[in-house]
Amino acid sequence: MTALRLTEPDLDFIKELQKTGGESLKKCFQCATCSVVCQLSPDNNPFPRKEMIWAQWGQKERLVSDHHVWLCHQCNDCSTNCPRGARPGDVLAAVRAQSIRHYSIPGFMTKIVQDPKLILVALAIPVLYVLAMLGVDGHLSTLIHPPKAEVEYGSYFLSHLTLNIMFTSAFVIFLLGGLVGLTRFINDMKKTDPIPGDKDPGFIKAVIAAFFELLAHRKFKKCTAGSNRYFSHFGLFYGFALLFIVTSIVVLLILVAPDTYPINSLSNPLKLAGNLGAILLIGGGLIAIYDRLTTPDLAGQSSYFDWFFLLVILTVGITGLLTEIARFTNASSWAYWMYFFHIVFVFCLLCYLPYSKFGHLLYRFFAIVHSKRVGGYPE
Amino acid sequence: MSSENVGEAKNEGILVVGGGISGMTAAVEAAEVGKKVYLVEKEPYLGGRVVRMNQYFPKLCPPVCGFEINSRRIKQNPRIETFVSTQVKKITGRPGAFVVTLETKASMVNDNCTACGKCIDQCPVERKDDFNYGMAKTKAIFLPHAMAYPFKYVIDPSVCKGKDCAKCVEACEYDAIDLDAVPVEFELNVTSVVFATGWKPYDATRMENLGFGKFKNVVTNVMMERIAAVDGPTGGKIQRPSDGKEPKSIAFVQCAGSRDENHLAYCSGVCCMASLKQSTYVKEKLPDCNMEMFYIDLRVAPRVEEFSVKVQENEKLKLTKGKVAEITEDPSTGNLTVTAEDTLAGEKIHREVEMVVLATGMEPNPVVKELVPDLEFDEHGFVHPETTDKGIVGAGCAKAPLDVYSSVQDATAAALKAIILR
Repeated sequence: MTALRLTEPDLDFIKELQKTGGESLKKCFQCATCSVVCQLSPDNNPFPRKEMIWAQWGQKERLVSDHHVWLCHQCNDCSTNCPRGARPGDVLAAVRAQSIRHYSIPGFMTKIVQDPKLILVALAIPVLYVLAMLGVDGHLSTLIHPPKAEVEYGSYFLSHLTLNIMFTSAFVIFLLGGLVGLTRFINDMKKTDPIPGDKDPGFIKAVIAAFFELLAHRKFKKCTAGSNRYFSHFGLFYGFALLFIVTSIVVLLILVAPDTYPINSLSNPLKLAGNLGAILLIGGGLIAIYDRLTTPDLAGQSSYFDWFFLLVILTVGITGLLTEIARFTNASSWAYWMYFFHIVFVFCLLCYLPYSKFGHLLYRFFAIVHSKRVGGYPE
Repeated sequence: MSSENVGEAKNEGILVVGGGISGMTAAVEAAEVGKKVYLVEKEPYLGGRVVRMNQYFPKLCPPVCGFEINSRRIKQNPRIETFVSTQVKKITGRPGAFVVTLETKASMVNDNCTACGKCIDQCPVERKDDFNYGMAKTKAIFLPHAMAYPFKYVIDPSVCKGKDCAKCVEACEYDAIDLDAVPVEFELNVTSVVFATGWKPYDATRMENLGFGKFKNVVTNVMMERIAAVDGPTGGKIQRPSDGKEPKSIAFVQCAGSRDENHLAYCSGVCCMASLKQSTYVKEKLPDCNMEMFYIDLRVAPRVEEFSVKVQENEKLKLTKGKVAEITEDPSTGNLTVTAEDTLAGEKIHREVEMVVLATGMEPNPVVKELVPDLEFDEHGFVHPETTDKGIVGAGCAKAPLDVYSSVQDATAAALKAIILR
């Protein structure tokens, strides 16, 4: 038995959870139906029943460093079976947002990204930054007087050099803020749920296991209530992964062999892969939005945190596709504007990653790695 | 028992709807202070749910002795007229002057019946015995139960082959069977109405995760009463349904559908006590049987606290805080695995047991609202207590889930209200 200890409830934390999707948390009466119906919950130290009482008691320190909240894929099997309508799945989603807010630095960035009142600020930052990049290239006038010549983004709009230097450096700086937060999170997880010495497969093996689990989307398949989430997440995940890889290859290609760009054949393998990625991404995003609007009981009560990320990633996909269409159809009147918006939303997606819901990519992955090291989870 | 001078009463009687413990109590209390009472019951016998119990807490006495006393009080009181197999069809009028239309089902066995039992030897048809929750069978002509009042046989018209068969008519020496009987409709004039329409167990098949109806050895608490009763399907031996084996382990699953928005949103307030009580049956009859009771909160009325504490001292009974949310069956053995989180230890338990008793809650018997326009119900279908000024009084479990003791108290209060209403 652990010694009794007096804890102070963090009342602001409770209110914050209730405002960001966990408004039902006080309804829980600790019957633990949720822990039993959850297919991802381990026998030893199961969740989410204990997280619900921690949330009710304002135990912020325990919750933000609890890796269990990240093992939840919000299929809402728990919420649909909950006898009280306490919706544990939604409460855990709210806890995850708070965890990101707690760890990622600088703090004001999480506020800008997560507070709906600051949405204009969140959009103004990338708009100004992209305008600044255009200023550096001397192509601000392209937006007002698009050149009549064949659409060519590199020559008349953002040069690859500016993009590579300015965009990449912004992304790296923000990512560093996220990595600092992630490191703090990993250290706190180890304090809250120490890794037992005997069965730990080690960090590397755990990372490999987590990676393959992610590729297979195995955990999503265990859900019954919100089973569409498997398809929406699959589309978004593989769509984004393909596009990210293709873009990275292209960036390198331009550095090595600038003459090969732009790629003008749609049957080029890079183009094929990129377009497949766009279709997966947009398809997955549309399924996710449809589910959230039509069956919120199964897909989860959506907060600003969810909508911001979902709409940003979907807009990236759509504007990207339109930018490509504009180039191939030589629609110079709107091509450059479309590209402008595309870069703005890519900024929102990538540079805001550590502060938005996209941060789950870092936090969830390493929480799963931690779970592999702690052991005892259903495979 | 006869209905010949019915209708001549001049607006002075009380109608009691429901012949369970609450209705019987309200009837005798009102009649014994001089009121005319009409007691109406839809089943062919009085006693309702209570006569189907093995014992009730905290005294652990069988219900038959109390039932016998009440039956005698009804039988000997000329001011009570009892109508079994009868249902209310319509209530019109106003407080002080209601006109009630009733219908008695075709009474194919008349009062000549001596319950000699010669008819059942001849009857070729079997039916599921609903008195025993389907765990036994009777013939199409049967005695509802060993202590039935009125003590006579009845015929289930849904399975009886009728005049084509008529073997029972030949067998009967008392000319008690008339297969041509038809339903009888009649009217009563009363000043007030007591609704003692009682309760029914929540339908356990609706909790798909608990396997009732799919797994034979998952039974409900009301079935467990019949299993333990000497006049029940096993003669009082605690045997599991699949193979008649005496279980070496039993899990009691509390709040099976209760305190659950998806099922019964409220707590019936008696099931924890009922399961603790049933653990005493098991302890007495199967001393080596290990029992585990899974609960969210043990909710025991203060009146029976002492009894509850005593029962929990049983070392064969383990109490685990955590709701069972999954039951699976091993088809080769018929054994069951119940899964719950032990919330005090913070660990999931997968316990294999030989039998499971689901503590299902109490649901009000449905009352057709159109028949009684003035009656008001709460969100769960219980009679609203504020209907008294409309000349209609709820009593017992029609008003709220109650134990026997509280139902008797409530029915006595209801009788008083019905008397002063005019």
